[in-house]
Amino acid sequence: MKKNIEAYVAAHGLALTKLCLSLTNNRHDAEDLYQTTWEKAIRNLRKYDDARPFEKWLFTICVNTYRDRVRRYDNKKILQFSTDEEQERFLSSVPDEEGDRDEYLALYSAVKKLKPSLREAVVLYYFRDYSVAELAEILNIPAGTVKSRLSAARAELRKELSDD
Amino acid sequence: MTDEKMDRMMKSYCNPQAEVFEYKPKKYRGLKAASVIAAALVLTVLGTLIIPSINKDSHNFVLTVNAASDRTENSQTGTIYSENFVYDNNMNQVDHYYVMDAEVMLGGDDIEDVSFRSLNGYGQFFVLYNPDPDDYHDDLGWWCDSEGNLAPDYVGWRTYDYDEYYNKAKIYPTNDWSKEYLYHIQYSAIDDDGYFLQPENATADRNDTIEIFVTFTNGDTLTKRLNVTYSDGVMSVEEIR
Repeated sequence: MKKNIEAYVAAHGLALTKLCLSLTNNRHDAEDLYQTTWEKAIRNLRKYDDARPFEKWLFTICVNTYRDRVRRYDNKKILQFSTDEEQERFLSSVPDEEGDRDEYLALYSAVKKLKPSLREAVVLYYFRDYSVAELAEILNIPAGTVKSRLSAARAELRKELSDD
Repeated sequence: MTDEKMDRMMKSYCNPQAEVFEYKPKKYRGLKAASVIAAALVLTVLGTLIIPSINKDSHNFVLTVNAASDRTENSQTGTIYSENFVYDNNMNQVDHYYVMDAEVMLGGDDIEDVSFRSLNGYGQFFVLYNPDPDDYHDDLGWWCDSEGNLAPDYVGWRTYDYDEYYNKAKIYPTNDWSKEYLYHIQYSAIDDDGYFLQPENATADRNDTIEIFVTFTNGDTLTKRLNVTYSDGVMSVEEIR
């Protein structure tokens, strides 16, 4: 198993890092989410069905862990930058080929206002261009629910961004 | 903002540039361990043989001891004895060790608070929080010392999380966990140096008593005591009646 763990971490560590950052925006929380996700994945590796893409399985664990965290903190501490520097660091890490830099703070605020269930769906959607079926599998919700959450999330983002 | 622009920005926002985080297996003894382990394996090795409930009272209180199925078929004692593996930062196995645990599970409809301690100080505690009753392994936890106080140094990099939320070593129930077993308290036997007690040192002079103090919502209190004894390197746990 040790070889597998090493290989899995090497192959999927960066993607998981990005997902954790996207879900939390807070490096501190993101790293904790990252560690806990690997911890759970390694602990349950024997349950992993290798017919299924490892990344999706890993992301499912990550999302479930994220949900636990949101539930425990009542969503209050999620998506909080602990310092202005941290905010600046995160926002400047967003690729900006089209010169939209100034608008990412508004986008962050809009994402932060989303309900957790909408946020996790929309973040995963944009993170990997997953299909509705794939999102349903990762989020463990029906495809119809994925569609409605994506639709609602995008509508709220659109409204927030137009208000700004 | 156009949908196209929003999509473009969201795609960038959800794919920040980042250096990969380093995976840091949790320390099994934050105070002294030089190497690291996947401490979660401790829980994986624990079995699922559950001794039938040994107490119910007017508060619908239930208490059980969870024993390792790979170790004993004795349904009257809770005996846990598991082998765990130590990895270095490159995930090479560098050592292995044993853990003797007694996992106490309790619950009820009207529990206000639970606290606990090791009477002789020969054990430390790991408190489990399980948000998913259908998956025994989907759990979180934090270390407490023999007095039941949160022991931040035992959990290394995770301390800020639990230190902040569970500011005492008290256990808070979660609404979405099974009412039958709201609380898991795992007692781990330790030696005089604070390491997990190894079988060759598991002798009668390490016998201990686990005390569990329960407060109910109406102010009633209940104390449960469990005897921890050793014989031939094997730990047994029984309720003192």
